Amino acid sequence: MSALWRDPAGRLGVILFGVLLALAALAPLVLPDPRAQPDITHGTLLAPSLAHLLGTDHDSRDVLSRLASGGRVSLSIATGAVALSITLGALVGLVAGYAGGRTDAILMRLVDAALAIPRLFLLLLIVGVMQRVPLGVLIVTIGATGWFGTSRLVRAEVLRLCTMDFVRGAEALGAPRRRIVFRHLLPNVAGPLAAATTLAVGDVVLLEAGLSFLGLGVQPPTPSWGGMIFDAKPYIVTAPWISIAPGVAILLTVLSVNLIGEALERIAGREGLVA
Amino acid sequence: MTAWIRRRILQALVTFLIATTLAFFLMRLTPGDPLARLTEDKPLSPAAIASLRERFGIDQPITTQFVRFLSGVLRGDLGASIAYNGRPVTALIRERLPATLLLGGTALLLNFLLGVGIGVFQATRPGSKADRVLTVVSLASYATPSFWLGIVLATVFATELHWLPVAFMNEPYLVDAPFLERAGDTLRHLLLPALTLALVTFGATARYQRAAMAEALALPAVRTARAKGLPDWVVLWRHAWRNALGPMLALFGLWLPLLVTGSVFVEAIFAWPGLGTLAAEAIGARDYPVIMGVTILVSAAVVLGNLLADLLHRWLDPRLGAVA
Repeated sequence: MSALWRDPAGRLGVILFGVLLALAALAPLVLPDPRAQPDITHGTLLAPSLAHLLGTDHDSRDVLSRLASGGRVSLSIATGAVALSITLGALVGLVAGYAGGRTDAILMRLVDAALAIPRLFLLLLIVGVMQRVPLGVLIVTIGATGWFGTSRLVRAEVLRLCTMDFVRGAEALGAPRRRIVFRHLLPNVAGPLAAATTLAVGDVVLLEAGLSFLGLGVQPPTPSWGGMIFDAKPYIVTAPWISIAPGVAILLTVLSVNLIGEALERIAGREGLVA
Repeated sequence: MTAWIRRRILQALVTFLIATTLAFFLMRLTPGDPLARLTEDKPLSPAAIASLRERFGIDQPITTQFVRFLSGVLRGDLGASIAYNGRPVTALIRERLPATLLLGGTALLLNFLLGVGIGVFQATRPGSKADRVLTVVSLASYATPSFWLGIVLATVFATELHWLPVAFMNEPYLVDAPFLERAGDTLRHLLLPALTLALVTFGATARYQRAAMAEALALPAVRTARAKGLPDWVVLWRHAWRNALGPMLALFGLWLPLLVTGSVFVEAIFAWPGLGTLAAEAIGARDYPVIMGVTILVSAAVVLGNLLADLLHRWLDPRLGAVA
């Protein structure tokens, strides 16, 4: 963590992400209810003002409240999906890298094939025929389609570690395979894995926004950034703020986690050289 | 060498077959009736539904369907569209492919010019203020939702300033115009979607180029070239950049999915009549054979792109053959 703070780009990312998190968390305490439609006749598409810092949308709802509430939805989905994808990726990578041989060959062929289909299309194949996509299903499918790259990364790290003395020493001492995998290998892939986790959050936020824009992600009336951009399309000339706000929110969120992720990659790279 | 090439081609073929299998079972084993869209707004008799199921072949057991599907794919037959009244998916794809290749090619060119330029510029002055600002700019490019940027650019440059057209590939009144006039018109329509697509993807190129170039600039060969007193631009582009080309080729596998995913949104925003719009329409209509067909085409392109990158990398750097 202190290494992250010493990295200028990493520090920028941490500050930015912290501010966004605080806004999303504190919003319900000070802002109006995102679902409230106070004045549907006179209060629609109001320009930003002191009463509504980012104005109101076509249903007279407060844009800033919806933005904060959409952010909580986005980040919850990202957290759940990334937790799943990183766990799967780490497990498959550890098994493939340590078992080697036929297990490794089969797993990696499958991963190659899965990586040949862009993630958006994988998701379309799964949720494309559904009439409504429940939130839980959305989280699980996004998570289940995101582990392929991670498993390759972990496998490569494991292959490198397996040639090192401390692993070979543990093997020579007769340590059971489970102990080697979880006590010796896993902690040593933690650095690259942390970087991958952070970068994955950014990918999921973008992906979820895209799916919601296509109507396949978060279902209205639950606010989501992608859905807000879609809803705001007809009013972009008369009320540009409702379009601009969610786009900037996505951009800043993904930018901040990518800044952190790249900084973690640099740190893991340096530590890897020392080890 | 030839044995390696043969093995690599075989491997690509196997990857493609597994991807096709994966796509088929993902689509068919997840809940949801593929014909729901056809039957939802009109009450059909059980007999009519049964005949529809027979027409699209989904009355058969899943394994039979799969064998039929796979043999179709290998013969270049991707089945019939549901939303387009049973038109062959391959015919739909063939109609839309040229527009997508034009848009994707232009976007890739812009992406490359921007990404390589910025990456090389950064690598020559690492740690400087310009380097740090451009790092944030590249990451911001990667973080921008394509559909949002498309809407913003269309509003500013088309709706407000009237510099460029908002949508489509050609003005309908130019159907009979001379070729050059029509080409100029297409170019004007191409500019905004291509720019959108390039702006949301160049960040990845720039990040890779910066890293590859930084490594190349540290090579002894580059130091020797400098010591010989060669002009800076010769050292930079002839000596260092050529050495940075190999790692850049690995990006092939990254560009294609990025471009294809981006073009689904960008084409839909600008009503560009390509595969992306076809896919977006198919999503709206729950037209599963079309979604499937486009997915399979895309995965074939990704596998082929990776294969070409590997072959090219090997050809550029014969040392790789000695190791493998």
